[in-house]
Amino acid sequence: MAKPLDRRAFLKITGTALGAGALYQVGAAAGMSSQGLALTDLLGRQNGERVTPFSFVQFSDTHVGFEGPPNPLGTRAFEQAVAEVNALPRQPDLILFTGDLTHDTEKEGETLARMRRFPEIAGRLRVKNVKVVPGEHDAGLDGGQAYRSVFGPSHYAFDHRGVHFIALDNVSQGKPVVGPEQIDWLRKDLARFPRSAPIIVFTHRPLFDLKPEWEWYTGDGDEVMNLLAPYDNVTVLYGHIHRNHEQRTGSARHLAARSLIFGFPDPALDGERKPLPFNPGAPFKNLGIRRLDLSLQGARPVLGVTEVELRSREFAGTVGINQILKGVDFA
Amino acid sequence: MRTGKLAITLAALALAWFPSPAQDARLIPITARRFEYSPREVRLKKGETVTLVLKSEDVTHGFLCRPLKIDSDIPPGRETRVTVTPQQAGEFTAICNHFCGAGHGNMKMKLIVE
Repeated sequence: MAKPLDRRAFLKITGTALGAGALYQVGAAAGMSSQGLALTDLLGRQNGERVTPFSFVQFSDTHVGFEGPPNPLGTRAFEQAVAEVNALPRQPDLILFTGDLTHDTEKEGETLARMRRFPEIAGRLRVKNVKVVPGEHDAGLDGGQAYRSVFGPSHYAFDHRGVHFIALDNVSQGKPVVGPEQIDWLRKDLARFPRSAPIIVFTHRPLFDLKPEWEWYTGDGDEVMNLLAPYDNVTVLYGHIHRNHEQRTGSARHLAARSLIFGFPDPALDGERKPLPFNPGAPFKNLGIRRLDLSLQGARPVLGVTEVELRSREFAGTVGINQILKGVDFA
Repeated sequence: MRTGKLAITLAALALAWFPSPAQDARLIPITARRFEYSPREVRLKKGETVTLVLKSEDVTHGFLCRPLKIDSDIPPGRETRVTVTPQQAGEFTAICNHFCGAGHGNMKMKLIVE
């Protein structure tokens, strides 16, 4: 049986393609001692539901409708990512999209057209348990009105196999904030959980000051993290920065995902926040999705992370890329 | 009772006569429009109190410069004043942190403190 992925394994596995049979499998409580099983049951009773292993996938920043030199292929990476997930012999339980589903536009009727185009592509996923949050490109211009008309509430919570998932909206107010109303809702939502409850927050912007001068922060992110601070097992999944990044604040782990449109530079470097240039020789470079595998080490839930490159063999040659680019206007 | 009224009157007179540092501050007008600030750069002096007079010509913009502890919205149709006394020299970037459309990510200016 494979072991749960720790950070070292995650780093080792980062960059591998998501080939058939690669989906990480963990048998429910296999190899666990009777003490471990008893503890898992106890925690399950405390949390409302016993944790059982499962897998899910994070997509981010698909920017449906984007046109421009950083990615002349539009939704091709998004469509390829859907195909990759569909090819898995064992399907993940759910799919999370962490914002910027669409690219903003002020053309009459085009915002809604893009928001309808998104589910056309996402709807090809074999997994139908799909959860989304907005990014500023979806909801920053109209306070989230169009987004909510298509996708429903922009913040909500649900439970899945003993894990509490929280969708937070830190974009709809124009500024990078969650806002007092949503923070009050979060306080009430968390009240029923003991500190041992595994919690996964998914949102668009980082909930900590990653790089405020690039607008990579949430103004009241500290208030959110203070509410989550008493909990032992908190993971925050987010997008917005179009690249992988991992950081801890207290005991919480924050993981940023790559986009499916273009990359951004390393925030540790000085300079401008400009999209990384498109590489016709490697059209999916800097893009990708993330697979997450929740397993149990003893009674402790562990989230294994696999960064997934998109396969681009068919697009790698000159002929291939020229076929894709046929009719694409580089102006 | 009469002494109390006198004290209040004297205090009011003193406030009117000696303006606060913010009233004394040099005014620096900055205009925001999609997707730029004008001017694109202003020079400040370390320790000098200045008031940034922010105006938007179109939609609500933001003005964020964490090192100088500035974080303000700029709604259109009125002035927004921010008084600041920079305590460190350097070149700082102010960005629009209220999403304003396609070029929002590039809307910024420099505050140079000498």
